[in-house]
Amino acid sequence: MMKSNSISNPIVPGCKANKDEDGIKVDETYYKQLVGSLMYLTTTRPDMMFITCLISRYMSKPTKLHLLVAKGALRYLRGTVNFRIHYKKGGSGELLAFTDSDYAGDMEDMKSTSGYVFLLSFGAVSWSSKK
Amino acid sequence: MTLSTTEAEFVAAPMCVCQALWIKRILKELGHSNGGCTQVRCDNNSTIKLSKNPAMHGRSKHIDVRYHFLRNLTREGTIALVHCGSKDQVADLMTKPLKLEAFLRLRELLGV
Repeated sequence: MMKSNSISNPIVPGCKANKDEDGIKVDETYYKQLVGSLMYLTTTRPDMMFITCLISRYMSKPTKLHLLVAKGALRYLRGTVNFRIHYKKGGSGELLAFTDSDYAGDMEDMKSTSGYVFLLSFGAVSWSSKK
Repeated sequence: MTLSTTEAEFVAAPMCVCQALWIKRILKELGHSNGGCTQVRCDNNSTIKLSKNPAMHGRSKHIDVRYHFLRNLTREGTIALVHCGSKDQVADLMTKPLKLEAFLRLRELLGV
């Protein structure tokens, strides 16, 4: 992946991830290691939260389709390796919360995804994404 | 499992609010002036209305009582649900795949 071309969006709206039961199976351990590393990254990169959450749903019986989505995340990281949260001076110092949910975001079991973000001094301090 | 977008948001909000209460307590402990009302931004107007007014009608009568603890907090003035347009809704990043422009703009707002 060190020689891959970078992309600027880890996941595009049309991407329909599903269980893909007939797809070609890939190495489970490799896939799980990948997800594990990405999970570690979500502690400093809120923009990786959704994609990590998405690919971690298919840790058992991952297929080529899932690996492709996961590799999309890696290609995105390729171009944004040095990104971090920048907390700026000033502002009101007030805590600001945002909450949102995606109704029936998963096409298979029709469960919703809910997420929140807390901002303090122009930077995110706490975030979550949960199906 | 929820039956409407309003309910989905109404279930997601308490999760956020619980975390908000915890962070507020920590900030207070640290001496950061924050005893006031915390704004929780939400892009669904009917959820906001539901948090202010216990309207029990056909589409919301089944919502579990525990989700209505939001109303208590709103009444006490600890939390205020405020509307915000999808343009500034940074929590969108956590719930759905976004178009490139939207993604870049919201990522900027997160401070990344």
